[in-house]
Parts: sequence; C-alpha cells; structure tokens
Amino acid sequence: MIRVDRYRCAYCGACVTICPEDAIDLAGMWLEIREDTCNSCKVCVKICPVGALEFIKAEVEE
Amino acid sequence: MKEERHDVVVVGAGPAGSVTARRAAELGLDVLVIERNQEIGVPVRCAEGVSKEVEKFVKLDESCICAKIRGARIYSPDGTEVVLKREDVGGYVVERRIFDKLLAREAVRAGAEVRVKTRAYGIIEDGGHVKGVYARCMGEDMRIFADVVVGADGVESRVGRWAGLDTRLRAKDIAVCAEFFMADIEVEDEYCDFFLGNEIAPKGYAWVFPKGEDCANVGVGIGGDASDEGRRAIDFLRKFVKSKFPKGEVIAEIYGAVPISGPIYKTVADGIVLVGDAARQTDPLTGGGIIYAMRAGEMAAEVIAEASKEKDFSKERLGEYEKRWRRELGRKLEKSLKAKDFFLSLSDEKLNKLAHSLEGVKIDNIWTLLRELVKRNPKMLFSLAKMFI
Repeated sequence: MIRVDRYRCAYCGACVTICPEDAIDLAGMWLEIREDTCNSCKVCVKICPVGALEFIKAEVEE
Repeated sequence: MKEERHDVVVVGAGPAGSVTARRAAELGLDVLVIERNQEIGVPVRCAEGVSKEVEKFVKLDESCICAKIRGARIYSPDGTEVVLKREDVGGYVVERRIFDKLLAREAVRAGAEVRVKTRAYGIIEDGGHVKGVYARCMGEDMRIFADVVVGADGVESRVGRWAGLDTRLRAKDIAVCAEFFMADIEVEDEYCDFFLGNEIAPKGYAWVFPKGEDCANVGVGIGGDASDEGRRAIDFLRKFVKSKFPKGEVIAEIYGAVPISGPIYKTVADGIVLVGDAARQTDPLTGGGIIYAMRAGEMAAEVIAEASKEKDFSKERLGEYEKRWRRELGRKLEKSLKAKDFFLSLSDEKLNKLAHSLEGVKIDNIWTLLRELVKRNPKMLFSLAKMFI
C-alpha cells in the first residue's frame, strides 16, 4: 500500500496525474488514497518531487 | 440531496475556468464556477511567467505584475549564454495568487456565480450524456445540473476521466517541478533565465524568473521519467540553489506537474468540454499554459453559447470547440512538441555545440532562435528543419 507523509506532500498533483488506476485523488491540499484500487505499481512513489510517498508491503498476519 | 440547475457548471477557477465563465456569462448564460480550494489562486503551482498576450484577456493590475520582461537568457550545460532580447516588454512575471483572483472577479462582474471550497466528486449522466456534477461543500452534498460541464480542473483532472475522456499521462508526458520563491538574491530583473543540462535538470530545465527587486522564482522541472529516489525535482533544485544563490532565503516553496505531451485527442463528449491543463493544452517545450487556457476558454464559451441557442449539447455540436482550438492553437502546440522531443534527444555536448554556434547572433524570439540554429547546424538539425517545411 502507499503511505503519504502529509508533512512533506506539496499537493502538486503529479501522483494523481500519473496513477494508472485513479487510486489517488487530490482534495485541494491533501491526498486521498484508495487502497483497494491501488495496484502497487509505485509510479507515484517515483515521480513525487519531494518523496512524500512510500510503498509499504502489506504484512500478512498468521 | 440539494439540487440546482445552471446553463454551465465550470469545475475549477484557474485561468481556464474563470475565462470560460466570464465569456459564457458575457454571452448571457447562467454560469456557476466551483473551486475545491477555499481560496482562488492558492496553492500556486506555477512559475508565473506569461507572455504579453495576457493583456488580450484581462487588464493587468500593477498589484499582480512582479516584473516586466524584455528577454530571455538560455544557458547550455557548459554555461554558454544565448540571449533573446526585444526592445519592448515581451512578458510578465505575475503573482498568480492575485492574478487568478482578478480573472475570477472579471467572471463575477460579467454575471457568473462562484463557489469556493466546493469539490466535484462525480458526474451526473444519462445514457452516456453528461448532465452535471455531484459536489460537496462544507459537508453538504449537492447535485448541480447543467447543459454543459466544463472540466477546467487542472493537470490531475478528474472530470474528463469520469466522462470517459482519456486524459491519462505517462511519466514521460509530465514535467514534475519544484520551485523556491527566494528573497535577498541578485537577479537581472528584465530577463527570465533558463538553464539546460542533464546534471541541472534532466529532461527539463531550471529557471530563474525575477519577481521584483531582490526576489525571484527559482525552479527546476525534470522529466517525469527522470524522477526517482535521490533524483527528485527537490534534489536538483537544492543543488541548483546551493550553487547559484547560496546566500538567498526561501520565502515560499511551490510544486507542480506540467503536461508536456501535447493536447489529448478528444476534449469533448456529450455535455462536456475540457479546457486548459485538463485538456493538456500546455506548451510541451516551455511548459507554459496560461495563454492557451484562456484562449481555449473563450472558444469553449462561445461554442457553448451557440449550442445553447440550438439546445444541442452533443459531442458533435460541442465538437466545434475542438475544431476551433485545434485550428488556432494546435499547430503551435504541435511545433513545440516536436521541438521539445528534438532537444530532449540531444546530449549535453550537442547542446553546447549548438549554443556556441549562436555566438554573437541577435535573436528576439524562440522561433528565430530555432531558425538560426537550423541555419548554422544543417546536418545536426535536419530533423528540426523538417518542422519548418
């Protein structure tokens, strides 16, 4: 899943624009991420101008 | 759910949205503009440079002009300077926070209604024909019906996608940018400076746009496909600022993404048109989009007004907007796209060679620049020359 550091995010919209699944939305000055739509391609993580996005591997609890 | 009805609902109160709204209101239409942010013009996602053509669309207030620009200085990777200079003022660096409000005020004076802190979250459709938008303001949901929805919602546009228009961009189709508004630095206040080089701004450029006295917008835009961990726009900007303005202070940080793909194929569907960054009507070479947005906005409003008289809001009828903007703006955008792709294909060494070839040449605009380059470097620029045939 994608985690956003809200203190870093500069609300530029690059991640929203690039997401092939429309899993991210920019509500003005903060991001909304839909986990169930995200396909973990990580293009958003790469393009962010400030590195506010992080890919966290989902942990499987036994 | 609360319901209301208008002739036109414009999503987004940037230059595209406000000019569309103003023109539509002038032509007698009932227009509502909705803006997700609580303040028009904020946050700024722009380097704020605009050509003098802006005056065709709005009378600029001195309060939004930060600098009057007479030329540009372009620096190749090894620092060779190429100067473009005019006798008169060629453009301005504006204060978008004020400029955007000015455009909104013009729309309001013409009769448009504006609602801030109101965010569209879906479109209303009937058999594939767009009939309006769902929006939320301060926790209250509403259905806003309109004959035409104008998608002026910027680079990360949703409205077009909801209506089935393909506005997707790949990483290489975007320039991702970081910018500092810096104070207490030495700047040449009549020139905009551009810096090329793979170490400075891979697949893009760095810029210094004066904002009056001892201030400037200092930024770096890199190709979206050049961005990665440790090589982000902010990393390149910090390096650039450290070398050029080590003593300056940052008063504001501005970030944005610019489409550099050229315009999308379809900007019209039944009951909907896209304008501005949402339609990717931005210059692929310079990243500029304000003028294109405003001109396209006027054309959209005019076509919508004509369609209103005939009560026909089908994509065929609204397609007249597509025809008009492609006829008036399309060629320039296409040429810029080819120029951008060409310059991106050049190594730093080749760029240096080109800059050296222009030593002592008097140039007053970018097309003269390209022509002079072709003249002096015929072999290297054969493919660029084809653009002018």
